[in-house]
Amino acid sequence: MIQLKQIEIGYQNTLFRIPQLQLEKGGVYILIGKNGAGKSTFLKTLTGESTPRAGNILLQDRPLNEYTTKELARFISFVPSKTHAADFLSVYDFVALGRSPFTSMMGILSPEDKEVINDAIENVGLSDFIHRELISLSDGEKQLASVAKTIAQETEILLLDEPTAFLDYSNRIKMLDLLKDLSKNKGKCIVFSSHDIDICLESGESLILINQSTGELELTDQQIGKDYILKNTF
Amino acid sequence: MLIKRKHSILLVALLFSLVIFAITDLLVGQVELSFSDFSEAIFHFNEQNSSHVIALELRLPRMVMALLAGGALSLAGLLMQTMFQNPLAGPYVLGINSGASLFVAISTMTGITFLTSNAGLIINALLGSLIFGVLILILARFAKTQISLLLAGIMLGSFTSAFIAIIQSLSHSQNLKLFTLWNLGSLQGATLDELGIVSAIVISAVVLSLLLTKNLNILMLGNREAQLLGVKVKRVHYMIIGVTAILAGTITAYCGPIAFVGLAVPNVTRILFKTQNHLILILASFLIGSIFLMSTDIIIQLLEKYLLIPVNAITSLVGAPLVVYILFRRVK
Repeated sequence: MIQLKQIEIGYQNTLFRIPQLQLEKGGVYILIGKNGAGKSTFLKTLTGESTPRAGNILLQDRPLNEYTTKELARFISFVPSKTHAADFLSVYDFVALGRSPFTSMMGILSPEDKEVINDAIENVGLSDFIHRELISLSDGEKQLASVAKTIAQETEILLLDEPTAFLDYSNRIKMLDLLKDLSKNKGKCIVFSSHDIDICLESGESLILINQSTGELELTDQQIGKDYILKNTF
Repeated sequence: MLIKRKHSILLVALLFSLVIFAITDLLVGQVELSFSDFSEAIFHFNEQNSSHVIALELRLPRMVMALLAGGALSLAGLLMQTMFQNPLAGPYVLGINSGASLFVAISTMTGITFLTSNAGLIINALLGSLIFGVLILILARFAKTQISLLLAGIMLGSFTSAFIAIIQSLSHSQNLKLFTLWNLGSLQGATLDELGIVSAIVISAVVLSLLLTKNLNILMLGNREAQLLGVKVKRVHYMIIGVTAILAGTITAYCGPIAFVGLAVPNVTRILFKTQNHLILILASFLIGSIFLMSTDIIIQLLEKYLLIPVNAITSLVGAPLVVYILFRRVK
C-alpha cells in the first residue's frame, strides 16, 4: 500500500531516517518512540499534511504529494488522540461526516451511506448511543465514535495518534481488539502510535521503533524483546 | 446529517411567527395604521395622504430593513462561530463592524461628495469589512485559545475606535453629526428602492452560505480533521469571510453598527434546535434574527411617543446578559 524509501522525517532538523519500509494491507503497525521522537510528525507525513525533508512516499505506486486533498480523504483516514466534540453534535451526525468525501456538494446521505454509517456505529459497539450527543460520552466512547467515523470513511489506510492514551485498561484492550479486527476482517492497513510498551508487546502485532541509537526507523517483530525496545527507543 | 421532524416543525413555526411579527411591526407606531391603509397605499398611492406616505415610505422600509438586517447579521455571526469554532465569535466582537465604521468615518468626514453618497457609503463599508475580515483570519492563525482570538478582536475594535475618535476631532460639525447619527444605529436608513439592492445582496449571501452547508458541517470538527476529510480549508475560510463581510458590510452601511445580534442569535438557535446541521442552522438563525430585530423595532415604535431609543440600546440590553450566560456555560 505505502512504500517509504530513503526518507528523512522532520521540519528544520531531521528527526529520523527511514531506509526502507513497506506498509501492507491487513497489517497492524504500532509506532513506538519516546516523546518528541517524531511519532506525530511521522503520522502527519503519512497523511500528507507535512512533506518529508527528503525522499518521496509512494501510495499505491504514486507519489503521495501528487494526490489532491479530496483523493487522499478516500485513501487515508486519521483519528486524533483526543476527539473534541461540538455542542449538540449527535454520534450519528458525527460518524456521518466520515461519508463526506463521497457525498455530493450538499452532503445529502444516500440510503447506502446511511447503511455504512449504521454498520460503522454497530462495529464499534455504540449502537445504543447513536442519538446521544457526542460531548456527553466518555473519552473512551468518543474515541470509539472517532474510529467509527473513519470506518464510515471506508479508507484502506487508518492512522491513529495515541488511540489508547486517554483510556483506562479495559477500554485500551477493547480499542486494540477493534483495530485488530478491522485489519483482519476488513483488510485495512493500520498504523498507530503508542508509548504503552506492555500492551503493544501483548498485542502480537508488528512494531515500528524510532531507534534513538541509529536515528532510523526500524520495523521489527515481537521477538525483539522489551529490553531491546527500552534500550534503543527511550 | 439528519433532519428530524421536530426541526421542520420548528422552522415552520418560526416562519409563521415571522409573518406575525412583520405585520405587527407595520401596524404599530406613533400614527395608527390599519390593513386598509397599506392596501390603499400600495394600489392607489396618493402623495397628499399622510397615512399612505407613512405606510410606504416609513413603515414598510423599516420593517423590511429589520427583517434583512436581523437575518443577515445572525447569519454572519453563525458563519464566524463555525469557522472559528467559537460560540462568542461574530462580526461585531471580532472587529468586522469596526472595519466598516473606520472606512465610513473616513468617507463621511473627509467631506468628499462621492464618498458621502450612498454608493460610496456601501462600497466603503464593504471594503472596510473585507479588509478587517481578512485581518482577523490572519490573527486567528496565531490565536491559541478561543479567548485570545476574542480579545484580539476586541483590541482591534478599540484600536479602530481611537482612530475614529481622531478623525472625529478633525472633522466639521456637519459631517460629525452625520457620522454620529449613523453610529447610533437605525433601521430607517434605506428607501424602498435601496432595499431592493440590499435584499438582492442578502439573498445571494444566504444562497452562497447554503451551498457551503457541507463544508460548514465538517469545519465543526476543526481545521485539521476537515482537511483530512477532503475540505480545502483555506479556500473555504476565505469564502466564509467573504460572505460574512458582504453581509455585515452591507447592513452596517445602511443601519450603522448593530451590536449583539450576530453573536446572540446563532447561540439561541443552536440551543433551540439542538443540532449542528448547518442547513437548519442557517435558515433558523436567519428567521430568529429577523424576528429579534423586528421585535426590537416594535418596542422602539411603541415607546416612540415618550422617548427615542436607538436600536443598539435594546439589542445590547437583551444581548449582553445572554452572552454572559453563554460565556459561563460554553466557552472553555
